[in-house]
Amino acid sequence: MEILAAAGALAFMLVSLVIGLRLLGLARRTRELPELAIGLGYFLIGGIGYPLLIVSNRATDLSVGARLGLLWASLVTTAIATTAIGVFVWRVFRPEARWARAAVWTFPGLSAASLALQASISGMDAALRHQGIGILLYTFLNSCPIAWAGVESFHYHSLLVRRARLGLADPVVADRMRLWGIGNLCALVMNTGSLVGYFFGIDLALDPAGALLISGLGLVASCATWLAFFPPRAYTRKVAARAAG
Amino acid sequence: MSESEVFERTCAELEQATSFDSLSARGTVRLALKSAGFEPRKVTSVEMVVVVKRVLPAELKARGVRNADEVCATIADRIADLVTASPQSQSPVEEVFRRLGGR
Repeated sequence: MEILAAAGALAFMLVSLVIGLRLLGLARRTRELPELAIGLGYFLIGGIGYPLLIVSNRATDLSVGARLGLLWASLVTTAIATTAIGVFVWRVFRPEARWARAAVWTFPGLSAASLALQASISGMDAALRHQGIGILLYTFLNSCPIAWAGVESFHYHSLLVRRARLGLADPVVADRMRLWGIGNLCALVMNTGSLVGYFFGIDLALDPAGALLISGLGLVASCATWLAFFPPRAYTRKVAARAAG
Repeated sequence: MSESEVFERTCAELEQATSFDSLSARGTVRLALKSAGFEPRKVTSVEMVVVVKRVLPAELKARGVRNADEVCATIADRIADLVTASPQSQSPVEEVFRRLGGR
């Protein structure tokens, strides 16, 4: 079952890593904040945060101290990554909204507070077993920017589809918004599912139904995100032709 | 929250061309914009002209305006001068996502 769950997780990590690097390369050329923020988000989650989390949880041969070090590195990296995703959503979709700016700047403090809570009440070694209110709070907080990204992408997709019918938006960009929304939704369900599982003392990766769920969602998220940011020409031609027809 | 200049102008023209009062005119234009995926605050002149020509006629017909197509054509002509004053710019969100996908 772990192998099944690992297939989806591995696909998600690889796609996030490659897309993150590509978007960071784009940011280097354009010097624009949105591609830097989202590129950093994908790169840190897929390239560093998630792999370190898996190693800290599964590499039971390592000493507790080493595993805790990896866990801390993973948690801090993931918090930076989700903050970067929050910055992307704020700057792209709600640049003038004060509440959005406040939410983004409050987020790192809340993440740090949740980890401090974990360390002081349950201890970080309990976090290795996904136990403790602080780590649950941290997991919940890190789902928020992804949920926000999902809501904004589906909302904007619905606007662009209507505009595209009048020839006032690019159907390929509208489709990209939908695909990114699907990727976010899958990531959110994976996060929320794990959170609920941890709450009831279940590790989804070790549960048959949970492993199937994680694997399926990971694969769907990978495909959708890949098509959104690395669309093959045949795919974009198909989307454009469908809209024209 | 202030609406765009072209929205205000379109509502004023609609009010003048029909028996609608200000509230009805604004509500009708708002509905047309909503079904086209735009917001009164952010819609550009180029976008408004297209909405007036292609979406507003159905809204007016649904409200019993008989010469809806003519009314809309007249309004589109009257707001056309705003088009040259503020050329269309792509929505910033769309522009970012175009860059991110390499198109």
